[in-house]
Amino acid sequence: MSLDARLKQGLNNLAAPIDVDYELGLVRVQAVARRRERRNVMIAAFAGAAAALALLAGGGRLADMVLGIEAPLPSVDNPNVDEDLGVDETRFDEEGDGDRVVQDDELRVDEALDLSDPRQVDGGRTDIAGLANGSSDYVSTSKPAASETDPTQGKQELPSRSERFESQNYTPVNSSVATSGQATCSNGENGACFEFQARDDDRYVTVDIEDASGAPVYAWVQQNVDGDPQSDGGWTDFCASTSDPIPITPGAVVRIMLDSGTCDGADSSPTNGTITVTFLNRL
Amino acid sequence: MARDIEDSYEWFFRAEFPQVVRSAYLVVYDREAARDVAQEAFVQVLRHWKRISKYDKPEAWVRRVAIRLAVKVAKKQRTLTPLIEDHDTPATQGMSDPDLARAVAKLPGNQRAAVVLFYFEDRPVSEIADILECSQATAKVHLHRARKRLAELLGEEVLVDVS
Repeated sequence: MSLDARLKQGLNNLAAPIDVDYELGLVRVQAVARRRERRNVMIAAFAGAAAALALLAGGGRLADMVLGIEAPLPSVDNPNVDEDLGVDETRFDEEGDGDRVVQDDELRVDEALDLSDPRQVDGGRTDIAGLANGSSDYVSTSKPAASETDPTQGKQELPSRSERFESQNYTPVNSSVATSGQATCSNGENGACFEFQARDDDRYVTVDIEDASGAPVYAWVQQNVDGDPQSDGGWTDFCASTSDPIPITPGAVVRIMLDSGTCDGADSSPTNGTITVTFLNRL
Repeated sequence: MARDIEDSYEWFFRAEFPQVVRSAYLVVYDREAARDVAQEAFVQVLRHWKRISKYDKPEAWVRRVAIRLAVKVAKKQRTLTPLIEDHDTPATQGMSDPDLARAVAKLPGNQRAAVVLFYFEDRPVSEIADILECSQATAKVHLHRARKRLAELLGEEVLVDVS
């Protein structure tokens, strides 16, 4: 057999066993695209409001400084382009209209305006990681990682932002469990339980639930840190989607519990659908 | 109209997603990473779908993004961990040609991508150059070097070069 024939046959044989669930893939992709769209709308609104305030307060120069945050950055030859598989955007200049290639650095600048960063938002929210580590409050402000604020370590560069997503489907059986008050979790807690394994560099999580009925589903998020059947620490409840990224303990199991509850003033009635979890390494 | 755009994207997704995942796998040799890469590429396609859907070859666009991301992952793997050992491992169990798998895994990212696009996806050199964002001459060089290296590793002879 020639090398060419061996390559052709060999690569086909290598790739053939790879299972692809495109239905699940499609749901994940749509959920992530929607979430990013919401985030971009928030960032644009914030930038617009900041520029307007700057104009009123300090005139053109201050507004230029604010708007300068969105100035174009160097393109493909930028030596600072991050090589990691992170959030990346490219545009294909097939139309020849001068579209530039957007690199990771530009998104890093945008992320500086991310309102979901707890350091930029007043008030607290449930910190699952902090609670699992022994905090007695159910509501607390999330603390940034020590390496980002410890003055003895000097100024450190944040890792490039990356996110990954996983999904699980639920069925009417799970839904009836969720609403009947019976339990499927080994810890005996009420609700239909779905577990997702966080990796060592996963630090935040967001959850989106797409029910076939189109109606929002009530659920809550918790973690199992020590490996015994019981969930640990605090919990965050939500309808359909979590509003902000939730800090988690890296490497520990994240539990999503479908439960009976109220969403939009009506009893939550899950049918069948998909739970998509997005893990982030940083905000 | 919005419904038509949504339907056309779903049709495109179903047609291309499995192949993109498999191509990404042949570059990164990691199922989870391949799925992540493919999903990220399709998220970007979805965001620009109104425009991309009008291109002659939207499948080339998604492959350009996916292969680029996959090569980045492959470069990181090359630096940090050996992909496949020089002996049988659980990763190579069940493979019909583990020697080939190991040899391809040893290629640099761009050469591996060129081999995958040429032999697995049957793409011509012009499309490979387009996807890898290089000239056709460079794409041919990637293929030539890859085939030469593979021949050395596998003890095979390279008879005819790619045209």
